[in-house]
Amino acid sequence: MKLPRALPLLLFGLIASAAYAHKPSDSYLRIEREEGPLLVEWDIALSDLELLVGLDADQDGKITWGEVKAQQAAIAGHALSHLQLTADGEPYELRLSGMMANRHSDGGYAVLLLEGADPGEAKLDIAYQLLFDVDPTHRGLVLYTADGSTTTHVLSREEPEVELGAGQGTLWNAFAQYVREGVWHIWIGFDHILFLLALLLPAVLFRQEGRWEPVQNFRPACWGVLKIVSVFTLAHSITLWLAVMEYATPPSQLIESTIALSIVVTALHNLYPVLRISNWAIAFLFGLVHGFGFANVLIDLGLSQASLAVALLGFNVGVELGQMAIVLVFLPLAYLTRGTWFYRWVVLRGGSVLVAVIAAIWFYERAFNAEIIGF
Amino acid sequence: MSSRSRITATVLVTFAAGVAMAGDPYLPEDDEVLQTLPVAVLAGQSEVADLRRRLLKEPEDADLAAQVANAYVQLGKQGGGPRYYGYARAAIEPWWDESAPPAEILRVRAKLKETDHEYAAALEDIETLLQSRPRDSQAWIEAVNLHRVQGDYDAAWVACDQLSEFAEGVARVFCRVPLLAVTGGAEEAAGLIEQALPITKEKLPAVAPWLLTQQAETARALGRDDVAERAYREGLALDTNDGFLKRAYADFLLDRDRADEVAAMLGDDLSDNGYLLAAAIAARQTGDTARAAELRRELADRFRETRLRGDLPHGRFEARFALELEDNPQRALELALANWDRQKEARDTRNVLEAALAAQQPVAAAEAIGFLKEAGTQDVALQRLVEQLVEQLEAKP
Repeated sequence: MKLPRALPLLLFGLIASAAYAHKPSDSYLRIEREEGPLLVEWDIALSDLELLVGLDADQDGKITWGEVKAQQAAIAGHALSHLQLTADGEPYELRLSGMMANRHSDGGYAVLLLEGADPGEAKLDIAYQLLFDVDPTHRGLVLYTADGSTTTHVLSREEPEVELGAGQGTLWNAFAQYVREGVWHIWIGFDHILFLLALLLPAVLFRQEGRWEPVQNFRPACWGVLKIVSVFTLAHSITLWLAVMEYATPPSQLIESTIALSIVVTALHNLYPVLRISNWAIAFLFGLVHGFGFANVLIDLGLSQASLAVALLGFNVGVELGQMAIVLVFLPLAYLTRGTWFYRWVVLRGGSVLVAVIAAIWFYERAFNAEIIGF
Repeated sequence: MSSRSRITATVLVTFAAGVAMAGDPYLPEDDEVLQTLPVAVLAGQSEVADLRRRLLKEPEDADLAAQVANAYVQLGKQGGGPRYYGYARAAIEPWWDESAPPAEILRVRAKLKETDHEYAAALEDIETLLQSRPRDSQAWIEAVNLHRVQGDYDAAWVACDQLSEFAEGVARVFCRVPLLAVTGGAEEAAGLIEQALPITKEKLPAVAPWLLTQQAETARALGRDDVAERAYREGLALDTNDGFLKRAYADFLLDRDRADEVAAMLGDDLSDNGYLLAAAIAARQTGDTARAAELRRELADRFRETRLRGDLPHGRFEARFALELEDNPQRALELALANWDRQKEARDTRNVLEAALAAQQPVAAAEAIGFLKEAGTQDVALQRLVEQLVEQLEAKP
């Protein structure tokens, strides 16, 4: 067998694509804008700094914190000369207040702690140039937190600048944002709407000798609805809090399946009220499960510890507002038609059957990962 | 997908940031080691640094630029990580968007595109290169490889035959072996490897671990576990850092419920996502739930940070992560199918089959099964999965 020339190079072609086994170079700029000075933490990979300023003084292949500290001035000098901030178009200076270390998924990072004078309401812009000349695939990831809400920006050689925006209101903005999320979640979360409707359908009636009878006046109907909604709220607030604080984190598939099952049970209970259990008890029991479902959404929205209370409260208020909107539409209509054959047979019984069927399909989809109706 | 999870997915993208930044800065002791530079990187660095200095003076010197880029690609492969591919790209930046740069630039540019899974673009560069250098064995092997990875076996054979017209000996073996193994010639591949091994070990020791991995994988596919085991071990003895080999052997062990050996083989270096994935699955298999959870979280963090910078994690790993660590067959299937569109090596196909089986959607695997049949791929593991899928399909109304 003859050997080809340029053999070492042959290896090149042979090895099947190794893919990016770890992630390429990134730096992380966390910018916190609350009242007072602007706080910036800038994580830069030690592997990159080794190339930029040289860290491994004894060349033993191990970068220690001592070696990093010895180069603090060089690191800060290089980094700060590749980052320009402006406030309302005027140069805005950042000052080094310290350095720490951090670990990311691909190794050790130096963290530059930077501070700038209170920018007030000024509009901030960033121009970022770190590493682009030695690594065109480098990215600067900016996490800008202002008044409780965080935005992310990816800076690249092609787009090295970003406008962070002006300072705005207070915690109120964050609160309002979570309220909106809460309302929105109820609005698009058909399962919560259906559960609530299934619970509310019999609220304008009461059972007497095995038959549904319309309530006499508006007060007991209203009272019944209020009790159900409050108890549901109380229950899901408890588990929402438990889950967000990570005291209890049941798997989401279990929760989503159980939520579907809860709707089936509630709807069936309207048809065959065999259980000696009132609707508000059902609301409480299953409310606990729905709370975990809300928590999954809230956690996915992202929470900073500082605004946790604001987020929880805002989201809950939003969910409540969403529910109240449903009640406000439902209750007058149900009350007006409660005495009719149509309400008892078509709305209550027919509606419950329909709800039970839809929820049963959801249950099947969620428990067995199948897709039937596609929502 | 339920309406809830769809909404969840969209908001997740926007807010993932907060989660990925979970690690808090801290003040270490002075002697705490924060980062280890791979030995190969350290040893090679001074040489590369010299080259880079020269390049700074003559940034338009294509040969020099290609040399620097190649050196960085080597460092990246030897454990330095993708940031070295970024440095490599910087070296050839003046030619990055050029349609017909010098051959050596094309070669390394194709390699960089390949590491980024841009197979079609990489192939274009190689084909441009071959127009000016039609007898470049290395480029032909690269072309064969790029066609094969994408599952275009006909084109791969054409390229391999063209190489065989002028090249002899091991170059032909090296291009034929991986192709034969997936196109119904596993026995012939095994024979060729057997023949080529002695001379490879003697004259091309650097390629020996690769050939031994081919031997192991071919034997495994044919159901000859003892031969496979011997080849994996021999390869590892020659090179303990061969990622391709270590990932393959880890899978071999995991499939045979020998998870404790996986942890021992991988050791502490889990910087590679494939190693980390294997270690997490192994911990789960051995029932070490705390360790499994820790490794799973770490891998999830890496995927998140990759997404955060606007890239996609490697679908081959992420699909297995969803299936084997998150118990989410539906997501695993989506990821596996998306990955399979780009890359069709045995592991990619297997991911599709396993996810479809777990998600009870045998139909979703139909295309992959047809692909295996048409190519005539022999692989006992894939065959078993195909049979199970067919059974599942028949059991369904």
